[in-house]
Amino acid sequence: MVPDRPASLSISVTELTKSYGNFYALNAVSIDVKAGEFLTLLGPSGSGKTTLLMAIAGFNRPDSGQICFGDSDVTLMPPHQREVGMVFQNYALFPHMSVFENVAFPLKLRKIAKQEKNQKVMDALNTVQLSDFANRRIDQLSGGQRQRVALARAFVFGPTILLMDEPLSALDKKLREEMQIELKQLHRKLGVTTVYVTHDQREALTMSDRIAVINDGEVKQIGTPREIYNRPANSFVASFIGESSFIPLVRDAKGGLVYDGVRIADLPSGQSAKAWSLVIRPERLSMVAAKAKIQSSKLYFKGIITELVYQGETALMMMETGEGETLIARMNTRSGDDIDSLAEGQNITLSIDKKDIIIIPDGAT
Amino acid sequence: MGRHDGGGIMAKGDHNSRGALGAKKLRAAERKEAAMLLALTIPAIIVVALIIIIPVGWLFSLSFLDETGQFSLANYQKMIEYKSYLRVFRTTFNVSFLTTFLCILIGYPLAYFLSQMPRKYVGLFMLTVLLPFWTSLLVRTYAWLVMLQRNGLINNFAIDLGIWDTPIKLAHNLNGTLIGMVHIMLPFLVLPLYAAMQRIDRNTLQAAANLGATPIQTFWQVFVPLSLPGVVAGSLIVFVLCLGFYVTPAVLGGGKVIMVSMQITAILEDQFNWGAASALGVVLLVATFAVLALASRFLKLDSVMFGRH
Amino acid sequence: MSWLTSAASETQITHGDRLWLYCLAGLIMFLLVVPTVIVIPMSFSDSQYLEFPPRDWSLRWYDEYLETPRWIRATITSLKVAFLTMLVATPFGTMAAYGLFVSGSRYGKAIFFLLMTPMIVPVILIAIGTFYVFGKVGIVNSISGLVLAHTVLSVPIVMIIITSALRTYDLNQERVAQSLGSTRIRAFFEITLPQLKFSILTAALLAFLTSFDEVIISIFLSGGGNSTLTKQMFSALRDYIDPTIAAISTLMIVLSTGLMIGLQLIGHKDSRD
Repeated sequence: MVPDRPASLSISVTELTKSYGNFYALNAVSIDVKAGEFLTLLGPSGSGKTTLLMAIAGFNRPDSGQICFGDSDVTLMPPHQREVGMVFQNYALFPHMSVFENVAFPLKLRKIAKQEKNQKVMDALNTVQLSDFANRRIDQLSGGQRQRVALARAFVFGPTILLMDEPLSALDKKLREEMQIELKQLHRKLGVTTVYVTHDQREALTMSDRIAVINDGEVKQIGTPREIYNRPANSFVASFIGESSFIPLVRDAKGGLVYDGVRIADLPSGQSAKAWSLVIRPERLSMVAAKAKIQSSKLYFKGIITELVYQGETALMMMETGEGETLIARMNTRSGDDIDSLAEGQNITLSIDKKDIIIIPDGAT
Repeated sequence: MGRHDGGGIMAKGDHNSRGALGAKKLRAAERKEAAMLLALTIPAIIVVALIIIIPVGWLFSLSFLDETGQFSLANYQKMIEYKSYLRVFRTTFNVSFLTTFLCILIGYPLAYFLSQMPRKYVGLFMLTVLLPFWTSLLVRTYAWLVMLQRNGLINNFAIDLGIWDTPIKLAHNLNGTLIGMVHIMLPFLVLPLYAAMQRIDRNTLQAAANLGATPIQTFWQVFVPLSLPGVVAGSLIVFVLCLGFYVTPAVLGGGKVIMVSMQITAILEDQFNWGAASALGVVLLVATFAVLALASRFLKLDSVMFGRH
Repeated sequence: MSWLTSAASETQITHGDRLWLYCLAGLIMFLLVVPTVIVIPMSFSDSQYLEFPPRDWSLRWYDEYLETPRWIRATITSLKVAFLTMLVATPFGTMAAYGLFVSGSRYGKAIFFLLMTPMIVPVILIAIGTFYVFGKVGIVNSISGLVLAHTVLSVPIVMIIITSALRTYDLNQERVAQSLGSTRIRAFFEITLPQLKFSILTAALLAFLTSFDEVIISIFLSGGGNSTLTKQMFSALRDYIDPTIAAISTLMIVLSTGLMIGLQLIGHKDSRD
């Protein structure tokens, strides 16, 4: 019935714009999703990530731009012809049908023969570990179970693209973390191109092959989790992902960037920004013992502890430097550093390896 | 001035040895407070008792008395035997069914339209449904009487446009009665149906589309089944109201459409036969309660009904 | 005509596809409104047969109304009864709604059902039942009897409105007031009641209109000098199509609509504060 189809298609979004009155939900967004990859659209609420997902699904029509699945232009195609599987934030299960009937619905629409249909439904339910629930009514299921039914319904008909709109946000923390792993395993098993929307950066870092950070209707950066975390391209990405301390840098006459008289790095070539910031990840800072030797490979910060919060396996420390800047450091409570001896108001020196520092142009968001 | 709330002032002796308030005292205080709140309903209860319970109860007992004041089932027997009574029952049920059916036919598209409108326009359109509501029943019935006359608005309009040639008798018969009653009952169906349609989760419809259902398939396979509780609720309200209706059939029926309520009135006006009239009334009351009881059963089973999809 | 091709919903069905629905709904709405308001222009028709559109315009039916004592008497009776009904039903219903809502007692459900029976019992039964009982007690054709009966019809409506208002109201405010030293009663009058003002006004208005428009009970219970307007209109309708009724109907429409619009305006002003 269906001609030879690849297991998954690539998605290319080109210069997509969607506005509501004067408000631009999407501003000439371009993204390429590789076939089979798990790409997360990460951003705060109102960033446009859901609008983009809905555009890919066909639930809103863009003002301009193009969306292609593989080689076909689907920009004007109505949603019921797009052959994408979608999991909604509130699951959107059909309350008047049983679990089985919900999952069978797309197969029934495609007029799949009864035997094959039953087989596919049970296979899908097996994959999400709900085969015993086939005849249950939706209102008898827990949140996690509903989520899995929604998932099964989305991939049972073998779509080449899967879209998920914050599917785990309604679940409690423990269940969410379990489901993250299950979803990742499912993706590996199905090999289907998946676009995943979330505002939770930890979730994005855990699950994705690549992350596209979105804000104000624009893609701020796209890259692997490691790239996004270690090499944020601008201050938005740097502040949205992980906790960071920002320290302004000064340019010296010789084309270098300087902090506290110490030359940190050369001015990166090809960048025209006037001001620069140092971005420091809290877990990269270490305490410096009183009589330790100064190493040229490290950068040092002297200051006073303003806050010390014990948080179980880590402790959060906020330190104010002589120049009035605030550094956030996260210490492992098990390490050799004697956290318990510290107190607020104490003088302390922190250090960071120069290779761990991140430099971003200021004003580039 | 001590602090006094509904719970009462606690005396030292109310505390047990550990200083905590005895459970019995707490429960008593809570009961007292609940009782005082319930007492607020007493005026309303008295009025309802005086006007509903006592009169209807009296009617009930009257129905079991014959002309001489003795206990008898003669009044009810007459109902099964006299053809005129059976005709009245049949007419009443027919008119109620037809009205309900027509209301569903006309009201469903309207309710659907309203549920699809963006929020800022709904209020405006809803006015057209609410306007009849706060216009007197008598005024509306009168308006139909005038419009449905032989040389009234509708006939003149149709003849001018060539839809038909000679005036059709639209008033003082079943047609007129149905037209008038549908017009009056329509808001009673549209409002609960609209409310039910509003509660349908839009995401469910999007999910259906995403899974491959065309808009028509989504409508029939997902939207309509989910809107059925609203249809049932509205239909029941309409049906029950039609059963006991008096004014519109009396005015627009021209004496040919005799519903139970009209028969009751006629018996009282002509014969002053309280036994017969109250027996009819009891039957009407029982029928009303039966339909409503059936409804509550039916509505609870709706999840089972939907299971057959 | 780009509106026709724009999407009407997320399923991307266009407005053009739905044009038939819009026309049908428009027709139905038209048919809902027209019979209600057509009486207004017709009442200005000079002819005995109430033409539309009126060939000659005149106020003769209004004169007829104002100059006929029995119409005016009936109007005054109706206004009196409606006003009194409003004064009685609103506090009774509000108290009952509040008491039931807050007490959460297990008898509450039974009492609620009891107080809703006026909406379930067919009005004709209430009419003849009270006619009989009032006859025995001797208060047929009295204003107080009528007010009592109309109150019973209005109480459920008042309760429904107030109960739904209480549902969106944060009762914790009363508890806070009590924790700050206020008695329960005072908390109700100073904190809750002012916030329920608009709902109480709506309920009062509906109680008024329910009584003013009521037909069946009035036919049985009002008579002679104390006939209501609706009873007179009904008698006139049964005998012949009195064109004066068109004028009276117009005035009634203006009254109801005016009151409802006034209510909406007050509500609008309230919410803007």
